[in-house]
Amino acid sequence: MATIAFLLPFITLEYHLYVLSTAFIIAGVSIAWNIMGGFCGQVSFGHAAFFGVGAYVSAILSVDWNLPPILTVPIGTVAALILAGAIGIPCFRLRGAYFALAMLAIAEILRLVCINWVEVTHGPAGVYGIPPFSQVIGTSRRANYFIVLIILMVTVYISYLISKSRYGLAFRSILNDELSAEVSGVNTFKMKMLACIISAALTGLFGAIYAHYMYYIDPQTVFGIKYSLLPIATTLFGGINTVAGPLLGAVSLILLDEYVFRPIFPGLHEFIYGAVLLIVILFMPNGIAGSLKSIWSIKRK
Amino acid sequence: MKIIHKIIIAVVLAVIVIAGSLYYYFSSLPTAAPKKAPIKIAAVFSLTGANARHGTSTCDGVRYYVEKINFEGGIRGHLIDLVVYDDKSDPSVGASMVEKAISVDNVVAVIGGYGTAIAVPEAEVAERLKCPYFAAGSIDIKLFQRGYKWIFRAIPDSYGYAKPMFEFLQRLQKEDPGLKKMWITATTTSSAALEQEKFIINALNATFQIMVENFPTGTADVRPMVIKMREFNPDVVVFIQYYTETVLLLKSMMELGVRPKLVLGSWGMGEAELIKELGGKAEYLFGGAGWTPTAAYPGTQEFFEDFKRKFGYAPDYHQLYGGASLLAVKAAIENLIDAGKELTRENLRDALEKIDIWTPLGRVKFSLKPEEHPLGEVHQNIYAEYIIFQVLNGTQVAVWPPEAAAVKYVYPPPLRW
Amino acid sequence: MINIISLPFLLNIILSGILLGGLYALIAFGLSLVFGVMGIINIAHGELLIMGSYIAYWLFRILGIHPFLGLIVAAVSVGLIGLLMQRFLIQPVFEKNPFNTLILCFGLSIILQNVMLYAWGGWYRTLLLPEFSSSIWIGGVSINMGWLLIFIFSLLIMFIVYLWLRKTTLGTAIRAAAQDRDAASLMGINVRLIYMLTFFIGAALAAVCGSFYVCIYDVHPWAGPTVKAFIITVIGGAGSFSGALLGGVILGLTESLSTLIIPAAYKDVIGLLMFIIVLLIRPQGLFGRG
Repeated sequence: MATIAFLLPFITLEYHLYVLSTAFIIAGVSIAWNIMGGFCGQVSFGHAAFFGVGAYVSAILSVDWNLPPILTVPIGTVAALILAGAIGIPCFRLRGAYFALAMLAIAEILRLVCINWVEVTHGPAGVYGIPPFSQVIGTSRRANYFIVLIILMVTVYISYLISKSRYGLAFRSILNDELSAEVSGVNTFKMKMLACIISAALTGLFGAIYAHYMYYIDPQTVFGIKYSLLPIATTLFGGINTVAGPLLGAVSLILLDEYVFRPIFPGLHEFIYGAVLLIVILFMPNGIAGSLKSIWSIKRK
Repeated sequence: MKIIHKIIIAVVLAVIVIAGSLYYYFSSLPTAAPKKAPIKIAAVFSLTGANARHGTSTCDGVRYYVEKINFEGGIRGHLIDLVVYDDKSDPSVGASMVEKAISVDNVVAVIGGYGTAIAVPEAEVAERLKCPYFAAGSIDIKLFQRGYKWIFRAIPDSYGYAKPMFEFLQRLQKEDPGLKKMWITATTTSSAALEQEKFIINALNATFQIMVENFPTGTADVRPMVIKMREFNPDVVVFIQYYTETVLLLKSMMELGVRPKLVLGSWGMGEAELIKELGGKAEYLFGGAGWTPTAAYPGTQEFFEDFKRKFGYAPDYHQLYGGASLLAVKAAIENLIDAGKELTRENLRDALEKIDIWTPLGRVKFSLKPEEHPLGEVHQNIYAEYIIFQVLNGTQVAVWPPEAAAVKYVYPPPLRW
Repeated sequence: MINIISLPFLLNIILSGILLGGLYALIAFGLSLVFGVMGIINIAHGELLIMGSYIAYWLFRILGIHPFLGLIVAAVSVGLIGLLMQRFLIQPVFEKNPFNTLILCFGLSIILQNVMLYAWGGWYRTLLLPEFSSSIWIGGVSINMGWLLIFIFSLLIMFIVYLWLRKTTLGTAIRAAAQDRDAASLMGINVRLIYMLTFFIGAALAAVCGSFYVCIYDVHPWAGPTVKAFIITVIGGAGSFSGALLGGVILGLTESLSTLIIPAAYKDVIGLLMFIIVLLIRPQGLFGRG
């Protein structure tokens, strides 16, 4: 599959690469969300907060301070990381659902602040004229597609490493039963913080990438419900708590949406996302990858 | 599988293949009358989502003129193929629709962008992909100060909105030195509104005592703001808000008994709905609009009647924002064809820079260099201006600037509440 | 900035906040009830409210029925929808994995939003009724007629439901199920049925609120004040009548008074900040049970 991904730019129109790249960005956020929500069970409904912070910090640094993307992207990532640290410390005392909503509230606060703090954030119109990743490559969709793809692959690998490591084990134990995990010696607070920070940093990274890929960001989009909802929907669809799940879910959902749903049911495609969430929760709580995994293990027996 | 089944399947497949090929062949044959190649133009607007109402209105204006032009034979015989895209009131969808229109559907020009948040990314895409783009619903200035070569605006910008407003108020202040205190609000969800407000404040700061109370669109409880307004007791009240907030403010003012000497509204005040909503109480209110049916421009009445007949509702300025943009494109293409040049995006862009036409929205001619525009904008229609109207006898009657005025304004306006 | 704040002016602002608070309390009440009894956080609450708004709106526009009457129809229809949602979608998921209900409700809210969008378009709708353009004047303080009516009605409705819960058999059964599900079951209470009933009431209350809502605010498919409802529920404490009331009034007052100090643009931020602060300091709210 990776080979196909690498070969595509040579045979398709730039527009389709654009669709794929946006799918990859969402896949990245989904994978990041999954580390915290799927592996560790800390569901957040406001991941857009991290995405937006990464995007805005990176954008403002490039546009107002003229820093090159090679600097702004990491700084954006770190900013999201700091936010996670600040939030995590008080918020992990909250029970699951409250935490999810607190995240939602934070994303909303950031959105409102970005709209109103015009001197710094450029206000409701957003930031435009964000430079591409490299002046050498320029704005060619083909070239930038590779950059996004590579970062995505790295992210998948990171997710894989985590799931196999002892941290992953610790996360899973918290997911299954936090009390037992605590009792058996896992420092749940530290683990939850770790999951949150990694998740936030990766999300922020993709936010920064989004900024340099689109050349334009606005508060409504990057702090909006889209980047809070989509990661959850795609992860569930693809298989929560698996490594490939979010990637699978994101790419398939978005491609389906663009090439199947939109032409056939224009105007209803957001509805489809909601319906997908519903169907998956009702019938396939483990998503596609999860179901495949169970079928696979059944077959092997 | 039995032999007979295989045969049946083969026959069915063969029929499908033959039928398909025949259809394809016949549909690509030239028809009796040799058709000239249609001209593909894209309209990208918010047909669903938060901006649906205005996006659809603006798009209807484009559609109206496309139908009219095609009915009259097209542009020098070429019919316009209008491809409509829905940006769902989402900037990133808008941007991707523009990208699709240009790179996949090969349109020669794009008209779109209701709302600055959507117009900006769309403009960026058009600029990058080198295709003429008309911002038909954004009045943001900064976008046209960047020296972009492919974007155009036929409608007024936020300065074009503000100038008639503050000049009008300055004029009134000369007539009535008692006009001293001004209360002004702008919606914080649009940078263009804040820009417009800034121009007004800068111009009037010296002669007015100004209280600013901005709030976002969607604020439901405006009473605290109006209560503060009452404490301040202004002579002039100025709104730069969308429709609902304007109505809410007016209603609160009526209910709380705030009666300034004059009320001047912008944006939402210009909608035809408002007069219906407020009935007689709207009388003598001043408002601004890019266009009103009483404006003294060529073809205004005709457009108004004809549109109403064809689309079933009375148009306001939105339709002409889209329509004038299309008319500009049409004029440019006509010039191109007459000069024997090929219709490419590059040539179209050059032709657009040269047009100077009259439309029901007024005169359209674009600035080519920053020096040609007071704020250094390029490709902005230098003749586009806001019109101040007063509600008289239940209709919006243009009263300012003098060139566009139908009658003289009534001042002091005897407000009906 | 107003430098001298006169008393009538301040009173006006305070009163504005209190009246708003009544409506806010009603918004939260349905949500609070469902959460208190079933432990389900219904993220689609806001959408149920907006559906009620649309029903009231169309009843008025087409049949001329005043929203204060139309709310009965809205309440029953949305209540039924809620009941069906609960029975066929929420309950099965809740029994398997409570966490998933959160996401399920999220999905439901998206679906409801889009159904409404498809059915009635994205345009902002509101009813501007005559009651809302007239006020009563006491001294220098004005009380908007329409707001006052909403305030009174909201309180009345909440009080009736409260009494019903306290005094009737069914109501007591609901409270029993809320306290201890298994014990109630053992006592012969059909808990499933109780849950359906509770959800019906919660949804109906949302619709009633929606009918009021459309008289004041712009309504559109994604105008659902779910986040506001949560803020109030959290501040006041889940599952508590007085909590919802107090939470509502507190939020209303805060929003109103904040316009004196900060630009009106940041009004919503105040509510959100309060939400987070309360979550951190006293998550069970003022009156809630932990």
